[in-house]
Amino acid sequence: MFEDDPELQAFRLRYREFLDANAPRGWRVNATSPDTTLEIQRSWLRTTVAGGWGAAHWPTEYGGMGATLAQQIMMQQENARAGAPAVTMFGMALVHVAATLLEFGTPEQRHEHMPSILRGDEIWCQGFSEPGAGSDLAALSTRAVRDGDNYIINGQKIWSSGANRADWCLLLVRTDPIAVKHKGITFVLLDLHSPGIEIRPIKSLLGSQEFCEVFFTDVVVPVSNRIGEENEGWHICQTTLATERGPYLLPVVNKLRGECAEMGRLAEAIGTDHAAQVAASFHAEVTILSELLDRTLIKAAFGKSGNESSILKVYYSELSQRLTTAALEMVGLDAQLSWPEAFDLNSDTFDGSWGMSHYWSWSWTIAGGSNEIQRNIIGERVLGLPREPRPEAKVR
Amino acid sequence: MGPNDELAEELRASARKALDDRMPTTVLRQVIDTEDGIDRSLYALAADLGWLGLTLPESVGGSGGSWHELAVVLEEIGRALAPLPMIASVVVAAGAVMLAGDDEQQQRLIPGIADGSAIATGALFGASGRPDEPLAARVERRDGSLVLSGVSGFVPDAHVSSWMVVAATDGAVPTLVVVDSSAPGVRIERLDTTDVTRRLAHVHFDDVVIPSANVLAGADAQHVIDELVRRAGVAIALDSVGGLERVVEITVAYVGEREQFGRKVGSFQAVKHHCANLLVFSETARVAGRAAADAIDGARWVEWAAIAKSYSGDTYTEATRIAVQCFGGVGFTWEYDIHFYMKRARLSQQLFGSPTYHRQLLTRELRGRTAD
Repeated sequence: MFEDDPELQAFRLRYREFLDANAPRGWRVNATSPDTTLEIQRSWLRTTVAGGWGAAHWPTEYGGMGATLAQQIMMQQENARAGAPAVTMFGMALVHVAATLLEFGTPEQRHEHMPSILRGDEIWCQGFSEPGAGSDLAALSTRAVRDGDNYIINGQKIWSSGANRADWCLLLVRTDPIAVKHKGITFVLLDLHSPGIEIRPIKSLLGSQEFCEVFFTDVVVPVSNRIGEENEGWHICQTTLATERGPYLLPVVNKLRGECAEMGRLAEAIGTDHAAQVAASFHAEVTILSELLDRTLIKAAFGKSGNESSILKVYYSELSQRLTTAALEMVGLDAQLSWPEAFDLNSDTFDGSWGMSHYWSWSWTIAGGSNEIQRNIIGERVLGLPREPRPEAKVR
Repeated sequence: MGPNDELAEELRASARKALDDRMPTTVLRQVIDTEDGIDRSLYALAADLGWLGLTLPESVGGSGGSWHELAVVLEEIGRALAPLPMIASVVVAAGAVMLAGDDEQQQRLIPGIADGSAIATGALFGASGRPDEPLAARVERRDGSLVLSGVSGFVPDAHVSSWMVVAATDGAVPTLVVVDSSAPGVRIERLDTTDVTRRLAHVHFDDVVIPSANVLAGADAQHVIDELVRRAGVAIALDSVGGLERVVEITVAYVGEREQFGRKVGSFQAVKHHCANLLVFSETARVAGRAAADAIDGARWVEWAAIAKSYSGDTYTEATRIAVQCFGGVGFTWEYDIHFYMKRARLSQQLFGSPTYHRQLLTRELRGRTAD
């Protein structure tokens, strides 16, 4: 898309010039640990902000570019082309936190956090899921009790990506234990440097420490850190989660395009009709996915209701799983060797390890609402099919 | 998005209404039992509504519109399973004359296509009807005239055509000629197809004399055949997009009504997730079809045409497999409509090149691009 728009093409060329002059080269060699990767990303974030190309989707009054979706899509394409570092460790702050603050935050909350995020001084994580609240997120039980101007928090979160390096956390807590479960939830901003917090990394199936358990014992959060009203948190977190299925997909879809191009080269090297058919079939699907994403984003920008986010998530995640499965067969036993170390899992370009891409794909079919939940959403909210009878309704 | 889309949506609303009124499946069931299996009054209405001349130039009786609008009409026809010979007549036959014919041929042949007074088709392939197999019709010069003999297989709507564009070998190379369907030596062998909403025929040529004015010599014949395969393929893809959309609707409606175990069967996840998968197929196929229609003549046309034809064929086929399963026992009856879609999907998958063939074209295109 957009190949024919001269203004957009001029924009693309300006950004390309910026990348050619400023994007670091050879940075992957230095990305040997999460800490060095973090510094590479932080430095690149600051460079883009200083050059006027940072936080593309943020409004200009908060230091962003106020870029249109078409411009954002182009910038992602150019990032992939230039091999610029993706600022994945700041993704939660730049995308989820910003979306939540812009829609529901107070001016004070925005001014406290948004400038620090742009400076690369605040890393954020998400504290939504709990051991007893995964697909059934509204069943969460981490308790917050009002004590004057504070909440006192006790409980446990799990699957918080990057919590061990984060400064702040988007936290869902239960403030009303009696109300219907999704009506007793409150959304707060938690300073992870507060006393009473213990963070334990979980070793993922990739061998990396990707996400964490977070334990809270009498943690104090000022009421001024609450987003929206008390017990309104469920509604607010839908906005936070919806961002995961919009522009947030652009870099991962770009990565899949890179993988698909690599598969094309593999198929050429193999030279059989079968390999060519498999590669062509995935090229078709990845091209369609990319077009679907672009068209969905543009439509959303024009204010038409979009129920496509669940469709996008299901299609992307399973396509990624199928494509990498096929690639493992094309590569053969070489792809069964372990990769050096899995640090930049969210990288937006293919990094040479089919195994890593393959195993990582389950993070997309499970996290952010499993694909089974997504299919329920498609069935019930998009197609209007009747809900599964509720077990609790039977008890009463 | 833009004004283009508003125009397209107006066209969609009027096409939807016309086909809902004139071709509900109760009427379709009567039409398929007639000898020719098409509704000529509906075809006349299609001409009045401007569908036939939509993409043809104004100089030959068309309205000079784009494939963006034609896409809408083709989707609606696929949705209604309408037995209209539009792809054969407008996309293939008129397309061939516009690409390879001279002014005189265009002025003589195209206005009748645009106003619906003539129906035409294209006999572009060999006996198997597959674009990847050799032609089985040939022309020879005998006593100063051009003579056509041999066969073209699985030609859509040949039985109602007044003329057809035939691809035949002339020595080692292909050539395109216009043949009067009632000319001496032309025999149209009607076929019984499982998809009763479309008709195919083998066309036999027994020393058919071709007037020199009927040779389409304005462009390289192989290039024209390749382009017609792409255009017909995208047209079929758009027909499939409309069909897929309707398959989702009627399947969801059925499982939302049918009760077992005291519940709507659509409340069971096993069934609900089938329906979610149908929507994923429908939405992705629609993106492919529309992107292809918008890409015509652009830099990515060859790529998108191959993607749309192969992907829509596979997804329409798979979606109707799932849909019949969702209907259960009644899905296996003639009485319910879903089998019409199931069969149209399977014929669509194979017409104008299988998914495998179109993926070969895609590989060739991508390879050529890397080489550039």
